[in-house]
Amino acid sequence: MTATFRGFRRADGRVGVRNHVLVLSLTGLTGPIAARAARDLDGVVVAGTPYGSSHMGLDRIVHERVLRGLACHPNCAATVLVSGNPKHARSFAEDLARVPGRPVHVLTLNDHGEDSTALARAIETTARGLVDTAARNARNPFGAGALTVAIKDGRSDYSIGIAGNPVLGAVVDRLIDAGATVLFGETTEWIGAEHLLAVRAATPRVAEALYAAPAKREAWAVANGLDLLDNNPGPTNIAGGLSTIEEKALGGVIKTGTRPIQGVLETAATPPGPGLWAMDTPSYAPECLTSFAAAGAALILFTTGAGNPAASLLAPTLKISARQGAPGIDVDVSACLEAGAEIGVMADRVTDRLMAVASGAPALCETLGLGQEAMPRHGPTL
Amino acid sequence: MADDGRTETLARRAHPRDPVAILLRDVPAGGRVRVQDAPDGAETLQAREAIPRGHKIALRDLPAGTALRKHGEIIGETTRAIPAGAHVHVHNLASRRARAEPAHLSTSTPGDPS
Repeated sequence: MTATFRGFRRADGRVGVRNHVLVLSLTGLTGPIAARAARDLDGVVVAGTPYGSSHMGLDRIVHERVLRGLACHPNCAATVLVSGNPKHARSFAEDLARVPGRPVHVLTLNDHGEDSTALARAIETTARGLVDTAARNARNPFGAGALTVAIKDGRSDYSIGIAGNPVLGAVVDRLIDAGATVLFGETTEWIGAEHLLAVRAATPRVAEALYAAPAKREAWAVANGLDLLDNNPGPTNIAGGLSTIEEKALGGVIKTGTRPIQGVLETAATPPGPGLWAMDTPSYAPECLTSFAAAGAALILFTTGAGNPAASLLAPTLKISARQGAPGIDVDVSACLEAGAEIGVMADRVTDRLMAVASGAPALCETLGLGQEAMPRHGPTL
Repeated sequence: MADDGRTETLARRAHPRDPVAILLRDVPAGGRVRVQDAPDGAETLQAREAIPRGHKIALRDLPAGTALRKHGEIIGETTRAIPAGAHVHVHNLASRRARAEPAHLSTSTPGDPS
């Protein structure tokens, strides 16, 4: 495994693999203005929430946590906050300023006479200036232990359980052994394999949490008239060869490797230290990947069967598949099925590409412009 | 496609001690299956029936009520005796975890790892 990469040390101590200027719309109202202002600017990425004030309870908490996590993401050099709610925007910016060293600018609709054109012009000017400043940041060498990497799978098929995910599990073990931080989520996919995760829990309390998180989501499903254990595996899974929920869940948790699980994080919460962390997240890719990015994941490793376009905007999302000819794949590990190659050799291929992308080589999702951030949601809206 | 006795279909075990392997291609009834990950590549068997790609083939006779392992972990129990070379799937393998009754009628509480 390539032991080092070249990244950017940020003021809060975290290391990023990109040097974006982030334009972040804190309100749904200003999203289109931010997107339009920044869409053609080199070195600038735009993200935002479609929401603003109609959410409650857990949604309100997670919404704020995600925005904060994206705003101070290690892959970003500076942040332009765009908002239709000046009071919220200013206190949000003050909170960010507690960790000095990251330029943060606040631009509100109110400060620009409710004129979206004037606001857009201000966003563009500010962002361009920040790009010039960010260009002075240099990459320095770091060990793999400086990385926070998240993992997911999606649009799975028979190859994922016997090739893609065992390869990813081997990669996770190597990253953990190098001192890195690795996140996994998709809580409802743990159902049927909780015991296999719980036995790796660092403490009994973590083991309990590994049962409690999927049970909670199962209860939400039941409250909405869904039974996650009925018709699971579903017809597509069954046609593909999966016979039981245990088999399906096992094929998924294989990607988490074999190392101890330090804890179960709340959605989008930053891990307090290195090691392997479970996170309670939605299973649908856009919300899941944003939960990881907001927690500080610098990169995401994503196994698929036939192909899957999901990608985080802030965290380059590398696609891995053991299906020859699958489109949009960064690392082809089909040799372990087609040619009897060792899982370890395929894991080398993945870690080499991971370190190259960490050092600046583009992931396919970046070349194709597929990244997005999607706010995870849980409950009703007012 | 008639099996000419020379065509081999590859299958792969998830774990060396698993009693099932996953077909990497469709195999016709009577087709020869080679278990790819066997140490000397010498393990082959005959498929008793047509089995699609991605599905499981029994590598040895399995009695009814056997706890079946894949990746070395239990994924269910056989519901009838399964001979070597047979298709292992929903018709002869049952989940231990799947509910016997719909969830909203179940009396088990959330957090109960049934």
